[in-house]
Parts: sequence; structure tokens; C-alpha cells
Amino acid sequence: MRLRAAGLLCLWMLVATASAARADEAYITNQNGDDLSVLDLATRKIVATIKIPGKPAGIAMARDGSRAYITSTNGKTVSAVDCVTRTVVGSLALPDEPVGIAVGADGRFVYAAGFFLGHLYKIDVQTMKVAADVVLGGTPAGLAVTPDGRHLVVTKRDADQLAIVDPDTLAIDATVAVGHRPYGVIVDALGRAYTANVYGDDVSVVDIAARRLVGTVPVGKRPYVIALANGKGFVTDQYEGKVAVFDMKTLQPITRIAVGDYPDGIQASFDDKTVYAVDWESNDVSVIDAATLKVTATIPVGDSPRSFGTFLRKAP
Amino acid sequence: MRRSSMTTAGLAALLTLAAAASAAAQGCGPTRLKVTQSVTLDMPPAQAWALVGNFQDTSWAQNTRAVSGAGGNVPDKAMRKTTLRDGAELEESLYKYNAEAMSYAYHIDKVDVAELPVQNTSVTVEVVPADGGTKSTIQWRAAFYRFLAPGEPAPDIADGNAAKAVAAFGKQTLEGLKLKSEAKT
Repeated sequence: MRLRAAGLLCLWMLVATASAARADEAYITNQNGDDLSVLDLATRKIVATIKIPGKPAGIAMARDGSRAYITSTNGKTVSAVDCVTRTVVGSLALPDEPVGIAVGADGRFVYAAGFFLGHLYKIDVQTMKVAADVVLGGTPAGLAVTPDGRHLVVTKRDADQLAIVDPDTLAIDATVAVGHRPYGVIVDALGRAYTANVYGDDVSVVDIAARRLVGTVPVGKRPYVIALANGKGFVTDQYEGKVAVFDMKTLQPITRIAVGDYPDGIQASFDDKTVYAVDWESNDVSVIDAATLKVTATIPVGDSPRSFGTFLRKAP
Repeated sequence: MRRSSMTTAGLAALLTLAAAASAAAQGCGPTRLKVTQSVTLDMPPAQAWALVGNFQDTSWAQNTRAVSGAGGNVPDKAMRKTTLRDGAELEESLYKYNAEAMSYAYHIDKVDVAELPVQNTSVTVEVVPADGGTKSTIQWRAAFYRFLAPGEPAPDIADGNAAKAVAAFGKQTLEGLKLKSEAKT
């Protein structure tokens, strides 16, 4: 009895120590490396590498940091990673190559879009099975869910549109014309969606409730993904090797920050002070101070990192 | 009989066109690939940049038979048309040029997919100092996507074929640079 209790106590202490010792982390999908780098954002070191076959690209972090959901394009799968044990705990085979993925507000469902067949899949995270799907068409790429959980927005890349979808029923409430070849999308607290238009070299701003385009911000060449921090938008411009910064209120450009080569995924830290850009070609992560707009560190990661989606995990 | 064979040929052409149009409509795929080829020359970086730093002059590339273009080295203006030794033609446009960093980048706007089974390819040419600045490494770095046949059943195989073709093309492009550089010094 006493032995078992001591054993349990030990186990509890181990788990507690492991959790308590963890800082905020970045989960980096290394697409051509077929793995996931777990980056400790305090020490700026890789603390774990998790094998994910099939060319992992997109990622959606559960809001409580319990799990990360990863799309593998060539492998046509969605993998569930337990972020405490850092192991793959579930996998779902899809009929298509998924790229964009997002978690619903209550964490019970994730949404992934198939690139070629154009379906949007609603996936039950408990069973890792498709609960419902709808045809969106137009090569759906990026996904985001509004903070209140009422809307799911999806860029339809080849249709130059943003679809506004009901996350519960998958009813397509509206499609809004945006710029040329929209890819990454993010929503702000005011209910606006921002799309990075790869061929338009600009960002479209959509009022989700009004279902209309309310602004366009010029950025650099081949913009892919957008982060929001400190009242500013940060856009990865792949052909520039830069992050374009704009003012969210005036929708005017502020500056461009040189980062690594072909920056792809980008996300703001939970305290809004730091922005992390994932550089696909140079295999690193650029750390940007959201106030001074300077790169403060460059951290090497795996091969062809993308982290297309939400990839930051808050310290428990 | 003749009419029937005409129809068949016409239909085949139409199908090819339809397939090409549909692939083009799909744009680039979800898996971006990269290939780097390089060669180290026994000359300082400034000299190497003088050799490779003109977007309009690729006479150093051994797989090139002829090149003509306009717009000098001005990004978003400069274009060039290249005829390869095997007869294939390429159309490329410059989007980045930085003499200080000894680097430029261009997009392949048009290429025969029989030559390179790829799409949406961009290439960076850069001179990197080597051996403490006494030598130079010329990097040729390509970012691209496999050419998408509609309903591609085996993306890994298509990716592999694309990467292999681009690697060979990059190697051919750099081959001869060493010979040319040795001839010049």
C-alpha cells in the first residue's frame, strides 16, 4: 500500500515537474522532413522531434494546448498529437490532400479542407472520424474560426473567395469575393477576417457579419499567412523574404521586416509581444519583437518548415 | 475511315487540351519542394558575381543555347527567353535583384512540362563567399511544386520525379561554370 502510494506520488511529481517545467512552445511542421519540431520558446531550443509521415504542413493547436492536429498533404491524413506526452495518439485517412486545419471553439471538432476535391471535413476529435462534410470547391486552403465559435472562414484559393461557414451545420452562409488567390486567413476580435492573396500581393479585409469586403492592404510579393499582434497585421511575403506590417485600424502599410527565406506560417505569442515567422527555405524560425518590429533571434528547425495554421502552445 | 481517325486525333487533342487546362486551373499543389545545387569557384566573390550577376547573360550555363531578353536587371521589368541545347524554351522574369548581397531571384513563367514536370518555380542565384573570401560558392536554389495531373494518384512519386528533374536541370545549369571560370583566370 505504502509502496504503491509512494510510486503514485513519484509519478505525479514527474508529470507535475514535466508540465511545470514547460514554457510556451512552437510546434513546427517540417514538410519535407516528415516530422514536427517542438520548440521551447524560453530557451529557443528544440526539445522534441515527433515523426509525422506524409509531408506534414497544416497545424491547429487546441485552445487548451492539449493536442495539436496536423495535416499531411501527400499522405492524405490528419494526425492528432498529444502535447503532454508528445506522441501521435490518433490518425484519420482522408480521400484528398488536406492543407488548412482549424479547431472549433469548444475543442470537440476540428475542420480540415481537402485541396483538390474541395471538401470541408468536420472531424470528431474523440473518435478521429469525419462527422460531416460539405463541398466547398475552389481549392480550399486556409481556415480560421472566430473567437466566439460562430463562424468558420475558409479561403477558396482558385475561386478568389472567402467562404463563411456555420461550424455546427456546415451550412455555407456566404461567399465573399476577395483578392487574387487567397491562401492564409485569420480573424480578429472585432469579427473581421484577413486573407493573404498570393497572386494579388495584398490582404483583403472582410467584415464577417456584414459579409462584405471592407478593405485591401498592399503588401509584398507572394503573401501567404497573416498574424495579428499589438494592433498590427504581420504578413509573410514569400518572394521578399520579409514580413510586411500594417496597421489594423487604418489598413495602411507600416514597414517590412527582413526574415529568413520563403517565410510561410506566422503567429503572434499569447501576450502579443512576439511574432514567430516560420521560414520554409532557410529552415528556421524568425523571432520578431512586435513593438520594435525587429528580428531578435533566428532559431534553426527541421527541413522545409511551414506550420500553416496555429502552432503555438501556451504553457500549462 | 479517314474521318474516323481524324475524329480520334481531334478528340485526343481536345482531351490533352482539357487535361492541360484543368491542371493549369488547379495551380500549384500543397507540397512545395526545394532543390539546391552549387559549385565552388577558385575566385573571390566580386569576380564570381561579375560572371553570374547579369540576369540577361546566362552564356555561362552549359545547357543554354541562346538567351534574349529585355529590362536589364530591374525586378518586375526584366524578362528573358532561353532556348536550351535540347531545343526546349523557357520564359523567365526577374523579381528580386540585390547586387550588394550578390543575389537575384526569378520566376519560370513558361516551361514545357516534358522538360520539367513542375509548376510555379522560382530560382535564386547567389554568390556566397567561401574559404575566407578567396573562393566563391555559386548557389542555384529552386522552389517549386510538382506538375499536377488531375486526380494525381501518387503524390510522392510525382514529387520525386519533379525534384529529380529540377536537380538535374540545376546541375546542367551550373556545369561549365567551373571550366569557364578557369578559362577566365
